[in-house]
Amino acid sequence: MLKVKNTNDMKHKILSMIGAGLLILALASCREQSDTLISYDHQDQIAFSEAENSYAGKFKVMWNALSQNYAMWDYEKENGLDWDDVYDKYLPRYEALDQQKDVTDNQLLELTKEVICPLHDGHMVVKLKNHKTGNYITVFPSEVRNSQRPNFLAIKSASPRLEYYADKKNGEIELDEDGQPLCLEYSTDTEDMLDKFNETDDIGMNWINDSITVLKELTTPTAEQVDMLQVLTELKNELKKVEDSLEGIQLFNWLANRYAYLNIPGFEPIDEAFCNNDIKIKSALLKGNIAYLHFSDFNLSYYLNEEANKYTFHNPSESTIAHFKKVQEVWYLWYNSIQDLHKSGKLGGVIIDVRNNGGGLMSDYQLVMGALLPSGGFEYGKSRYKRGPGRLDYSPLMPGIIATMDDEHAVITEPIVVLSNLASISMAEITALSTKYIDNAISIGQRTWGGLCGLTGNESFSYNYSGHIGEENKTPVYIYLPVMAQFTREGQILDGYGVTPDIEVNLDLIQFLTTGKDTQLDRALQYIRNGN
Amino acid sequence: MKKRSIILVGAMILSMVSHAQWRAGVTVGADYNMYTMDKQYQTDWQTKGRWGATVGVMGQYDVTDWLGIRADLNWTQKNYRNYRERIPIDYKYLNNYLQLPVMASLSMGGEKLRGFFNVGVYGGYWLTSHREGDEYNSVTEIQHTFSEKVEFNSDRDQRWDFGLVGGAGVEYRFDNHWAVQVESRYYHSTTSTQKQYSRVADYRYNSTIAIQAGVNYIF
Repeated sequence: MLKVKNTNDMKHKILSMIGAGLLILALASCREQSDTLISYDHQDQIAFSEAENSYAGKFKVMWNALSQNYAMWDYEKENGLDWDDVYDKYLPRYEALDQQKDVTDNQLLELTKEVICPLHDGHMVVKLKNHKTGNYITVFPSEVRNSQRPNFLAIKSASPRLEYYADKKNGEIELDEDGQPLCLEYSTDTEDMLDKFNETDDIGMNWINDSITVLKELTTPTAEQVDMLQVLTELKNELKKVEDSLEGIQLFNWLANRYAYLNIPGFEPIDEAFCNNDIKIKSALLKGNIAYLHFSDFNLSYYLNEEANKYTFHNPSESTIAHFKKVQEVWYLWYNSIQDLHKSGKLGGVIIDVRNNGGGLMSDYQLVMGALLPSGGFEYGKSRYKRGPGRLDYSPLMPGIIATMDDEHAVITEPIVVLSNLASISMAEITALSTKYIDNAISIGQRTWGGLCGLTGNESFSYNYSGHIGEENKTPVYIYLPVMAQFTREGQILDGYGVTPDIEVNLDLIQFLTTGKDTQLDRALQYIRNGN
Repeated sequence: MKKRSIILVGAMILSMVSHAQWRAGVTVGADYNMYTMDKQYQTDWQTKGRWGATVGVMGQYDVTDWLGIRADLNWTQKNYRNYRERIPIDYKYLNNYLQLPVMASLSMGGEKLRGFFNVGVYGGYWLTSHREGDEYNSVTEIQHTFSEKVEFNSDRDQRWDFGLVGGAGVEYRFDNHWAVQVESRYYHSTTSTQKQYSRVADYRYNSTIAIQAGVNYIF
């Protein structure tokens, strides 16, 4: 009996262990496999193949790429958007487009607007190629959102100007020792450069026209003069094709080089780097020693920082260097006035006008607000990256620290006003936001655009860390997409809404357009002069 | 035949009842957790295991001299590290779990020194999560060091954890009532740490090897 018990014990032990082993093996297979995700980086052309000739394919690429890379899904969820519901609702509608014989650009545009516009990111742009027409449709959600605001187009095109304030008789401006208004402005906008070429007397197009007129009036022209008339007429016709675009500037430059032997005054190549790095800058010393600065884009570093300048402009010509110097001159009027007047105790205040400013380089902050603050950086808020393949994979919230001026400078304690409006975008908004955390600074004007998230170029990081889905005008789906979300110091996301100024003032458009008098600037001057 | 079987089963039950005894004890040890996730096309992300600690109490009902039913209640860390090779991003996660493994404990050997195997299932609950390391802001070009409590996201994080557990070890009984054990144990989670909050399936699992020692009091 004992022998039976021992034998059965052993059998049970062995069977139990084998059973346990099998159980483990069986249950080990309980782990599920993740779906395979595709990188929509510009180099991964295969990823876009399904989008080439299918609207449903375009939708899937757009939906997946956003799902993997968009930086604010938790915020969208809080605002009632379920991205999975979007898939269920809209995929059938894109599939229905595939069944249609013809799909107009407008049909694709309106449908894509429905999908994309609820997202709050203020930088995002989606471009889809309509393979039936060969055209790209563009959806810019924040523009759609802002276009609902009063006078959107008028304000967007009414860039600040200083004619009224620079006019001595209006008594709004300080004068130099020679009695001249302390006011400078300059533009490196290629459109302005082309306008200067086309409209300035005795140079460029006017020189060509004058020469043609003279040559035509000759009763007995020489063979050389006949040739010259023909060449100038050809050149004039070619120049008519030049538009304000990179391609246009390239054509202009090609013509400038080809016809250099004519020595036409003012007909010199324009550095192509100006196309994407241009700036319009104005500065003035307004009555009460109030230093005013307006600039169209945060591109100042390209002109004021040697390293950024060299990186952007390769082997600049003398005329290009002259442009740099003009921009520097305008900025230094503002900066030197502030420093000198502060040191002598005469500075009334500072106005940084970021209205109609499209944003740009974060490093520019040190040349604007950061030139008034202590060195060592300034925390304007917090930032967070989209990290990992999951929709809710994010980096920790990091302090959003932005550079301030390193060079020795006086910290400004006088009142600082940042002027903003609905066309203040990105870095312009961060500048307005920073006033909330600077004791002697305030923002005045209108709520900003609502696009504070950050972008990086895709030249530095591949694998969808860049902020670009696909490649513009090459892949059937392209998305300009921030991978970094910005927060206020209090943890609030302002994308899709904007920075609300401390004192809200609208621009009296009629007065501004007819007289140049600027109600928002006047309010800033009143605040600095009266303290309220 | 039928009668013989009944006698056999009866004899076994009798022998079990006559042997049955309780034991209770404490365990302490270190564990190494490996985190499995599909990094997809983000090829420069690396996931590495990290060491943690495990501490618990146990109770066991020995049905026979070779079979017992054991349950532990332990606090076990399931730590791991995620980092990128191209830019200075390095996340070191520290996750605390409360676990209840229930196992069959099979033993063999002599009276004093015995080998044993544990096999069973466990349930657990993710108590807290903390992460520290480095992040890089490519816009401001500033590297940040962080150390923070990870707030659970009820849409994303699956705090309940279930899986399989198995282990092997040796026991030395140095007294009629006291024994020490050394065990190597493996927790194989079959529950993703992430809920499937998106239509894109994304499963992430913990696998934890623990080396632990314990003292048992045998009643």
